[in-house]
Amino acid sequence: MMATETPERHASTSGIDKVPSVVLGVVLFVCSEAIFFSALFAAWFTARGRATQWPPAGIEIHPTLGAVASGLLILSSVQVYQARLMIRREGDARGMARLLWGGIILALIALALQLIDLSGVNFTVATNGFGTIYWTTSILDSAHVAGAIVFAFLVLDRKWMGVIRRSNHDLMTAAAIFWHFVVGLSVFTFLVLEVVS
Amino acid sequence: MRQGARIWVILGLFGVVATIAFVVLTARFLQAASGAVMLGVFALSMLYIGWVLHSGRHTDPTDQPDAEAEVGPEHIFPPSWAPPLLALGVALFAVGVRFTPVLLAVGGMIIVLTLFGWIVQRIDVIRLQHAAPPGAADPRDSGNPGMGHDHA
Repeated sequence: MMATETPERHASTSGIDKVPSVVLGVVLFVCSEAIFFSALFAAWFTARGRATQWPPAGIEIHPTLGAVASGLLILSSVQVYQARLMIRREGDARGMARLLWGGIILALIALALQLIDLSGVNFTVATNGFGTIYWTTSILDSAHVAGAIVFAFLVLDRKWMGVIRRSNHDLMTAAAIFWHFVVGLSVFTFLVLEVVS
Repeated sequence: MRQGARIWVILGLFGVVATIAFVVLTARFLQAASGAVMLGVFALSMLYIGWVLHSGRHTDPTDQPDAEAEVGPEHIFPPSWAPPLLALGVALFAVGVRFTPVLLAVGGMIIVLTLFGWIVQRIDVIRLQHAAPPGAADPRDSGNPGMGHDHA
C-alpha cells in the first residue's frame, strides 16, 4: 500500500540537499491517508471476526467489475511510472503528457466501473455494519481515484505552462507517489471487500 | 542519519515491535489482522517518512553543478476557488448517491460548472503564457479575477 517512488534530491543554495516541499507534503499526506484507511480496514476485520456468518445473509457481492477496475488501475500505474521516467531521464515533457493521458483515461474507466459496481449492490450504507463499512471504504476509495486524476491534470497544466522539465519535475514525482498509493489502496480495498468476503 | 529522520524511524521501529507483539499475543486471527493492519500501516508510514527525510543528505554543491535551486512560488499552482468548490460538489454528490437525488443533482452541477470554469480559466492563462514574448511578465499577474483567481 505504500508508494515506491524515490524522492528527488535538490541542491539548495546553501549546499544542503533536501526533499522538495511538494514531494514531502504528498508523502506526509499519503501516510496520514494510509493510517486513516487502516482504521477502516481494522473495523472491517473486527466486524468479520465477530460475525457468525460472512457476508451477512442476503448480501450479494459480484467481484467481476471490481477486478477489471483493479486491473485497469494497475495498468494506469505503469503508465504514470513511465511518464515520470520519461521526464526524469529523457526530459521529454510531451512524452510524459502522452503517458499521463493514458493513465488518466484508464483511471477514468476504472472509476466508472467502480461506481457502476457500487450502484449495483443489493444493500445500502444503513443495511448493517457490513454495508456501512463497505460503502464508506468504497466511496472514499473512489474519491481518492478521482483525486489522483485531478492531481494528474494539475501536472498536465504545469506542463502546458512550460514549467515542468527535466530539472524541475517535482510535481510529477509527487503526483506519481499519490497515484501509486491510490492504486495500491484500490487493489487492497477490492481484495479485502470483494475477494476475501 | 539526519536528525529530522531519526524521530520518524524510531516511531516506525516502535510500530514494528508493537505490531509483532500484538500479533503474537492475540489468539484469534481476524482480531490479530485488524490490529496488525493499523499498527503495521502506522509503522510503515513512519519508516517511509523517515526514509524520505533521510534521503536528503548534506553534499558539496560543486558535486552537482547543473542542479537548480528548489522552485519558487511562481512555479506553484496559482490560487483558485475551484478545488474547494470541487470538493464541495464531490461531497454533495457522494451524499446524494446514498440519500437523495436532489443533492446528487446539485453536487453534479457544482462539479461540472467548477471544472468548466477552472478549465476555461486555465486555458486562458496558458494561451496568454504562450502568446507572451520571452521575458514578459507572468500573465497570471494580469489581474484576471475569474473563479477567485486572485493571485494575491
